[in-house]
Amino acid sequence: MSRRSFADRILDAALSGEATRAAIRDELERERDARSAREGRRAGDRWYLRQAVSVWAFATRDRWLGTPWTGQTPLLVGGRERLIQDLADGVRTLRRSPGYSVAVMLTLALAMTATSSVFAVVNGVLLKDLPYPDGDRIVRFDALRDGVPTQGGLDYPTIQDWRERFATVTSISAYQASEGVYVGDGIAEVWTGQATDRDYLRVTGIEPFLGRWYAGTESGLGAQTIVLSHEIWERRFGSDPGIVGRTIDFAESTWTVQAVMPSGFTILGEPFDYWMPIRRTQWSESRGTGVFQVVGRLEEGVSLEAARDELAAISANLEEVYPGEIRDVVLRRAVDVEREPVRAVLWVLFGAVGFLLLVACANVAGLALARTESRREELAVRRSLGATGRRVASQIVVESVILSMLGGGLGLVGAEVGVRGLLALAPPDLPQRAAIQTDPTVGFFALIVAITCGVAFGAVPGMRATRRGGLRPSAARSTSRASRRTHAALASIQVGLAAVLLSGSALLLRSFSEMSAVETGFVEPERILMVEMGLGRDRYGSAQEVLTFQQELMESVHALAMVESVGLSTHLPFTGSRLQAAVVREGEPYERGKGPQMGIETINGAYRDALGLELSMGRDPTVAPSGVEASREVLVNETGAALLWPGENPLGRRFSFDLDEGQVPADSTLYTVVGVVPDVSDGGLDHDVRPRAYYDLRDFRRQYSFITGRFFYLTVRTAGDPRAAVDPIRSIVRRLDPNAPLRSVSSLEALVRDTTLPIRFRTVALTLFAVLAGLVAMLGVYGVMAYGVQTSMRDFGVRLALGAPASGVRAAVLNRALVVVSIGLVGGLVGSLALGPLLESLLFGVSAWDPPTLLTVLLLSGLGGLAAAWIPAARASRADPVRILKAE
Amino acid sequence: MGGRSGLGEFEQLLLLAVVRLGDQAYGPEIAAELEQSVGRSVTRGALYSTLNRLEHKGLLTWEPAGGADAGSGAARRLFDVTPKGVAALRERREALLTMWDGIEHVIGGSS
Repeated sequence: MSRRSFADRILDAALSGEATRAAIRDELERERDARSAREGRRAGDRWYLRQAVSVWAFATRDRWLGTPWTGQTPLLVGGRERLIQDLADGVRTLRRSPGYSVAVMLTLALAMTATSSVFAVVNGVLLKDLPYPDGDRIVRFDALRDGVPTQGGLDYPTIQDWRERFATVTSISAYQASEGVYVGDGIAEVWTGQATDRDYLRVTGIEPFLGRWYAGTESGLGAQTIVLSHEIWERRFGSDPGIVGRTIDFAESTWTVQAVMPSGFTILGEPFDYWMPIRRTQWSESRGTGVFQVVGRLEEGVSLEAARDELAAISANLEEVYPGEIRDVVLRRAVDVEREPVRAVLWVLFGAVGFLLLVACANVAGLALARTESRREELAVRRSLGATGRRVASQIVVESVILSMLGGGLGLVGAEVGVRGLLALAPPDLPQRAAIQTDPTVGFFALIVAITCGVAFGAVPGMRATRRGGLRPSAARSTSRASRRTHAALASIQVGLAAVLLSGSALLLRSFSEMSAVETGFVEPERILMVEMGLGRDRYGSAQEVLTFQQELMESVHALAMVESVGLSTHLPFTGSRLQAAVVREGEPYERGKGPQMGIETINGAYRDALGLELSMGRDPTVAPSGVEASREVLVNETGAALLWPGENPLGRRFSFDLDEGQVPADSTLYTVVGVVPDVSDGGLDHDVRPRAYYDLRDFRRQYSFITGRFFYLTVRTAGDPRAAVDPIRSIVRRLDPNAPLRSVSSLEALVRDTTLPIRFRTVALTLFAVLAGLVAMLGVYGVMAYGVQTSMRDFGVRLALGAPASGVRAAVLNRALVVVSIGLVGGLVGSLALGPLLESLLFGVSAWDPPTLLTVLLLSGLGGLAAAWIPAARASRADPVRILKAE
Repeated sequence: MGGRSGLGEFEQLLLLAVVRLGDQAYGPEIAAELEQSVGRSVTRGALYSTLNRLEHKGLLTWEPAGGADAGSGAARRLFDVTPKGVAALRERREALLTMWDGIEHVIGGSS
C-alpha cells in the first residue's frame, strides 16, 4: 500500500529513531490515504509531501537546538545556549583573522552575486506563477504547418465549432493583431492592439480598472467600442476618470471608450495599447483561411492530455463533415509556449553559476583547512582540556556559516546590480520581465544556499579537527601530509569545474563567431536606413493615393544630398515576416497543399539599388502604366530559381501561385521571371535562405488589393552614416503629411545585430561566469602550491643544501602542480563531454564535442594552472637552506 | 499566581486536547481536535515538534498502543498528560481566571 516517494525519502532523512519514525510515518500515511479517498490522489499526495517537509524542517531545527526527537541525536552539542556562545566565539575568532575572513567573504560574495542574480531571472521567468489567477490553465491553439506550430493560423468557423463542442476547454476566444494611428493634440502615433472575442478577458480573469469589457458581437461588424491600456490612458488622456463613455478618433473612425485595463496588464506577456471587438469580414468567414490566434481556459481539474484527446476527437469529427479543410492543430499551455524559447538557456546559466559556486566553496574550503592547520596547536590544547571532537567541529562549522551568511548577504546586495546587468544583456522578448527582481523568494534562496555552503566548506576542516592530532611532531607531519592531499583534491575539483565552464564558454564564443561570419548578402548594411511608415485609411483610401504619397516621398528623400538610392518594400528584410504561397510552374498540375513554397515581397522604386542587390542575370521588371494590363514580371532570388528550375536558365520561365489556400489560380495570373538577384538572409543569421520572388507593388496591387501598401518600409542607402538622414526624412514626411507618423527607424546593420542578441546574452553571461571560475580556480591552485611549498620548505632547504639545482626544485613544484591540474582537467574533460548534449541546442555552426575547442581549453587551462604555481615554485627555488635549518 | 509553568499558548492547547481525547490521543486525532475546537490548523511538523518538547519538559508522556492495523505494523503513540503537566495546566488556568476576574463587563461575552 505504501508508495515510496520523494516525501517518504524526506521523512526517512528527518527521522532516525526507529519507533518514532515508524509511528509518525504510519500516522501520516493513514491521513494521506483518507484525504486521497476524499479529495483525490493528487490532493492526498500533495498534502503528504507538505507534511513531510514540515516534519523534516521541525525535526532538523530541534536537533540543532538540542531538543532532538526520540531516537535522534542532537546536531549541535549543548543546544541553543551553546549555539549563541559559539556564534559569539566565532565572531571573536574571525575578527582576529581579518585577512582570512575577508578573503572567504569576498570569494563567496562574488559567487553568490552571480548565483542570486541568475536565480532571480530563473524565478521570475520560469518558476513564478503568471500574474493571472490559475495562469497555467490558459491554453493556446496553434495550427501546424509541416509539423511546426505557427502562431495562430486558424479560421473563425472552426473556432465557432470548438466553442460549441469543447467540454474540457472554456472561454475559447479568437484574437488578431491590430494597429492604427491615433491623432490627438497634434501628435500622431501608432497604437498596437488586439481585436478579440468578448470571452478573451475571461481567459485571464482580470477585471478592467475602469468600466466593463465589451460585450462583443458574434456576427457582422464589431461594435465601435475600444478598451484602452492603463499606460495609454495615463499618457494620452491624463488619467481622466471620466474617460469611460467618451468617444475618441482612432484609426480614421470614432470609438467609444468602454474600459481601461489595470496598470501593467499584459496578455500572455505582451503589452498592448488597446483592445477592440473582432471584425468579421469575408476573409474571416471562410473555412481554411487561417488569420486568427486562439486561446482558452482548461476546466478545473481537467488535464492537458484530456483536452488534447478531446481536440483530436472534435477534429476527426469535423474532418468528416469538411474533408480537407480542417488543419492540424496543437494545444499547448500558454505559459509553456512563452517559456520554451528561453528555458534551456536559463537552466544552463543556472547550472553554470552552480558550478561557479562549487568552485568558490572548494576554494574557501581550502582556505579554511589551511587556517585550521595553523590553529592545530590551539585545537589540540582544547581537546586535551576536555572539549570533544564534535564540539570543536561544530565551532568551526559555526564560524564558516557566519562567513558564508555575510558573503551571501553581500551577494544579495550585489544581485541588485547583477539582475539589472542580466536584463540589460537579455533579448527584449525575454518573457515576464516585470517579475524578475530580488524579492523574498530570492532572499530565502540565498539564505539556504549560504547556510549550505557554510556547512559544506566548514565540514572539511571540521572533520580534520575531530582527530586527536596532539602536539607530537610525527602527528603534525602526517596531519600535514593528509591536509596537503585534501588541499590538492580541492584544487583539482576547482580546476575541473572551471574547465567545464570554460569549455561551454569557448563553444558559445565559437558559435557567436560563426554566426557573425554568416554572409547576409546585404551590401554595406551599415549605410542602409529602414524607416517604417503607416498611412491612415481616410486620406489614403485608394491605391493611387498611396502610390502618389510613396512616389513623392521617395523623390523628396532621393533629393537629399546624402542619399544615394531610395526604394520601399511592404516587408522588412531579414525578419522573415512575409507572405508565403505555394507556387506552380507553368503547365504543371496544381495539387492543393503540395508543391514548393515561395516568399512574396512587394517593392517599389529603387529598392534593389538601396539594398545593394546587383542583378545576377536579366533585368528589372517593367511596370505597365495605369489603365494598361499589368506586366506581371518578377525577380526571383537564386534559391528560388534553383528550386523551380534547377540547373536551368530561369529567365522567361513562368509560374503562378496560390496565395489563399483553397483557391485554384487561374491561367491569367502567370508571372514571368525577368531577372535573378542574389540571396539575402531571411529571418535571422541562423536561418537558411528561403526562395523569394520580388513583385512590383504597383502591378501586384491590381491583382491583390489586400496589399494596400499603406504600411511599408522606406529603404534608403546613404553616402555616410545613415543616422544623419533621419531628421531630414522626418521633416519631409511631416511636410507631406503631418498625420503620417514614422513608426520606427533603424539601420539594417542594427537589425542584423539585434538577431544576435539571444546568442550574445548567453555567450557573455556564461563567459563571465567561466572567467570568474577560472580565476578562482587559479587562486586555488596557487593556494595549494603555496601551502605545499610552505610545509615542505625544510625539505627544499635540505635539497638545496645538498647541491640540488634551483631549477630542479622549481621543476619539482611545477610537476606537483601539473599533477593537480591534470587530474582536474581529466575530470573537466569528462564533465564537458557528458554535459555537451545540454548545450547542443544553444550552439551554432559548432558541435558540443568540437575537438579543437575542447583541446584548446584544456591546453590554456593547463597553462593557467602552471602559471598560478609559478610564484610558489620560484619561492621554493630561492629557499635559503641556512636560514631554514637555523629555524629548525 | 504561583510558580512559572513556562507553557506557551500552543503547548497549552495541545495538552488540553490530549486531556479531552483521553484514550484516543494519537497525533492525527490531536490535530483534528485542535482544528475542530479552536479552528487552529497545524502542520504535522509543528505538532510532533511540540509534543516532543512537552515530553522533554516532563509534561507529556506516550506509550505504544494499538499498532497492528491493516496495512501497517507500526505501533502508534498514545499520548497522556503527566501529573506535572496537569499541575502546569491548573496553574495557567488559575492565572487566567485571576486576570479575567472583574473585567467581564469591559470585554463582554461569557467566560
